[in-house]
Amino acid sequence: MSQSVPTDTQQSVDAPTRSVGDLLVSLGVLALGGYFAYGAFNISVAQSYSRVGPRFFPFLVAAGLLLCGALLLVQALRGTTALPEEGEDVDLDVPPDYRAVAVIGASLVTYVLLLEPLGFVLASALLFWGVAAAFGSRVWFRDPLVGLVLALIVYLAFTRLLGLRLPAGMLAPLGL
Amino acid sequence: MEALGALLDGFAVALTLPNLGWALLGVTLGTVVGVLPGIGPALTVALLLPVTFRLDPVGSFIMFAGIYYGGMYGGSTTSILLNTPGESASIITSLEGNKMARRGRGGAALATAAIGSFVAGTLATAALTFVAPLMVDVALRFGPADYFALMVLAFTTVASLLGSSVLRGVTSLLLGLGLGLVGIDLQTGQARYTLGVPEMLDGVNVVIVAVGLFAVGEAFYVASRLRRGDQDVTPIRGGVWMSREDWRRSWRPWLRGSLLGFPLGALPAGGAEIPTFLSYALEKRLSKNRAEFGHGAIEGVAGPEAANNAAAAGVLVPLLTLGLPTSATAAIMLAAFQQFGLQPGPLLFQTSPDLVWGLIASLYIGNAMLLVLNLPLVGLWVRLLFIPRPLLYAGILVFAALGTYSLNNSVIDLITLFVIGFVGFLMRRYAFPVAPAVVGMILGPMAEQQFRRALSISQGDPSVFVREPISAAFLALAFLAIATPLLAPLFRRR
Amino acid sequence: MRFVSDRWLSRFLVVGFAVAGLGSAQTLESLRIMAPASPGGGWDSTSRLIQSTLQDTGIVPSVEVFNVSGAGGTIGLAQLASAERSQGDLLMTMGLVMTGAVLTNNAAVTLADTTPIASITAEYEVIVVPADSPFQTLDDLLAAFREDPGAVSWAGGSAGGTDHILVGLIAQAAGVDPAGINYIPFSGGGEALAAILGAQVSAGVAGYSEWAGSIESGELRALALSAPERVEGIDVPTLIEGGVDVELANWRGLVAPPDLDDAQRETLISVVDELHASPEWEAVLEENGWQDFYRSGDDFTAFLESEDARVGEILADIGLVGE
Repeated sequence: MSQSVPTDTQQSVDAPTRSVGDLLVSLGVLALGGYFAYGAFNISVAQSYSRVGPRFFPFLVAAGLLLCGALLLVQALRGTTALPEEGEDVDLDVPPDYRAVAVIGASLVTYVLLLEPLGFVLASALLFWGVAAAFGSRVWFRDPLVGLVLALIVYLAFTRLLGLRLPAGMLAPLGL
Repeated sequence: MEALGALLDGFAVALTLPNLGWALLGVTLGTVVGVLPGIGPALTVALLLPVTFRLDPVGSFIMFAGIYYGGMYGGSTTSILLNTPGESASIITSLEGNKMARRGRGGAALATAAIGSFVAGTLATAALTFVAPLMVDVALRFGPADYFALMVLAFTTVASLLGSSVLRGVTSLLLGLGLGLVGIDLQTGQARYTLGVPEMLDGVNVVIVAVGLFAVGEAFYVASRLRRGDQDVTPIRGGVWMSREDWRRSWRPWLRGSLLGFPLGALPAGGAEIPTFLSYALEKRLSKNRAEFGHGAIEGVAGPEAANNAAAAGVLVPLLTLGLPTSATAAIMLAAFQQFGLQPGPLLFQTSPDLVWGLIASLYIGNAMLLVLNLPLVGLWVRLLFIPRPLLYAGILVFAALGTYSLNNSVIDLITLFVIGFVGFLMRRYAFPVAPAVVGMILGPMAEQQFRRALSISQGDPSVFVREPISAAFLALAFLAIATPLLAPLFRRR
Repeated sequence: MRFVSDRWLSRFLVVGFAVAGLGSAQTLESLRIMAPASPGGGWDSTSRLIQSTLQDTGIVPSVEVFNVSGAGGTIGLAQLASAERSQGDLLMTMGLVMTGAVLTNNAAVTLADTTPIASITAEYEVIVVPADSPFQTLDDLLAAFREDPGAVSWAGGSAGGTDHILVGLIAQAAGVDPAGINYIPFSGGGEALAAILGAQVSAGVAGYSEWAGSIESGELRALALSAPERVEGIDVPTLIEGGVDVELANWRGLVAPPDLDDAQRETLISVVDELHASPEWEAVLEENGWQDFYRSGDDFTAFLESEDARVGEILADIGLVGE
């Protein structure tokens, strides 16, 4: 795998427009490389016959990330950017809708916080509702109901038939 | 043919009504649990162990084998349809499989996976029947240096996953390698990059990473750029079934996948992922439709799926002949043998021929049952894609969360899943391919441990990697795999 | 399915007990056992066998086993120590490996934060070489080891585990610096066994039952067992017979949360006493090839302390734990 500056990325038409996002991503990769390098110094090393201790691979990864981050930074500064991934459900002509991303993110955070207090069934129904809403579904009545039924079926199937433990939460008094 | 007679006796055991019932129960249960990420065959067998304690061992093992094979089928179904691999061996399947499903070719993808699994499973079981002792002799010659060289060869797969930008692909690979470093270093017991979280000491689970990057990341990304209005996605295009063309393009990958999968699965430290990687890279190289790879090439489903199932049978070689468990499921089957007071190993074939040959016969039967069960379901499964997008993605996230949580009943795992999912979103948004990260995460730790083991045994002498013939051969192959695409244009220019 | 049958069984047994009039203060109606490892491992199978024996004998009518896996059991340990004020119905399976894991992982919660109940089983470690190895006896192996410690590679389980500890103790007794052993950790007995069968390493260490099949079929030569004296049914000399003054039992035991009152502690100890005395448990030990290793109450507490000190010392000598 050659590490030379790739020439096969898409030169954006109205170059050089620098994308702030690309810039931030390259800085993120650099920061990650820095973190791995810093972390590698904190791994304690015991004597071993291999002469290659627990720090060797971390340093390799850190060096690789720093190099890639630097090359990405150069690309970002030059305004070279790669095209986002295409897909059947994806329309690249519309500007990214970060509100939808935020709604999903919020649903996931809520799920983590409420899974154990509320129980699997209710938390999952909420997650289902939130994600469906982020995808633009506005059938307020249907979505939470579908989520609730789905979660209930899954819950019963897995706790009863397979003996898995899932949090019952607020539904515990119902004997579920 | 001594083995043939014993096998016939085995069929006599496996074809009794109760044992057929256990096989059917096993494959059904296996398919169901294989569908969920996290809840794999290993966990299922473990949960059923106490229940089967009082059953007859032959019936129990026939059921366990059914769960094992069924799990492989179930895993590929969700990989293809929902881009949510149920376990690490079906990650590669999702690359081309999901693309096919999105193009309305989900039926053909599922069918080639099912038939390929059947072909590979049957061939590999036949190999298990007749050449198991031979395989073991070869497998035991593999030392750490040879394994390291094998990992290097598998790493060349990444080259076929890089996407349009080498730089971005390599960055993704490094991210995966970095994630693979998290946890206790096996060789020295030192913690690395655990952020002080005790749960991180065991490392990040690769299934969580795959589901996070593939399924959760995709949900974020699609939501951000949802195609509004008419959905021009047709769940079915050009018939549910495989076309003549599909058959023509599938049968060679099935056979090649089986040939790769069985011996690599039989290696004590091989695992089922490596043959799927190698099969994918090989099919891409050999295919006349190379441009189609990355957009839903059927060879990219047929080969890895066959390799995956052949490897599953290969894993039984060291288990039955040496008592060597080489996968999580095999480890639990070993525990099950011990629960019944049986000691797997060289003597098992003599002490319990009924059990061993009944088990092997039931593998043939289980495979056939899975094919019969799954082919009619293909049409039904494909209908999953008729579900409106909001409900489909909501359902995927609920299942991803369920599977992840039930791995350890740990909220930390859920947080990991969601954070990695968001990283997956950023990677898609900024055109980084996600597959190299997953490959790096699986191969990185194995390569590192074997590398250091080899050097430790040789007391720091790096020449072991070229002195050992197996290792040298693999390294040469890896060199060729990387060098030929680079050098080919030079020759062509003349 | 299991859920239903358990509940049914427990009801049945509760009724049985009431009728038999056995419900004294010393009995427990239900018990939870935490296996601090994933399903399939040693702690898990020990927990489940205790579960089935307790239920079958009726010592405790309803027993539930649950897994909290991770970090050599220290995740489970932390959860046990922080369990809400205990009902006196929670036990955790643990063993020698956990004392090491607490140290190597630098865990915040240690075994001092628990109420020791009893040790129940043990397994001795065996030292093997491949059948065609030049080492015929323990002496041969140790002579080579003393001459050039690095040239003798030992395969075993994870770094800092029982196998590693034993190699460290042998080095110490044989006059070799434990920091100089060439120990090759493998994940799980399977991979290590393959490495020894393929003669990739000089010697291997594991619990006897793990490799019993290959030893009995003659593919591996067992040189020594880490037991204090010969074990019935195992035709292998002890380390002590071979002139190495080391014994090491890979024992397993049970501990409870830290905040028990005396009555709760007594009840749990008496439950394990009863388990140990039952013929059913004897059968379990025999089936699994485990040695009886019973120490309960204060005996166990003292034993735990001494093992903790011994393991800490050797891990420091090996260089895995800073002092």
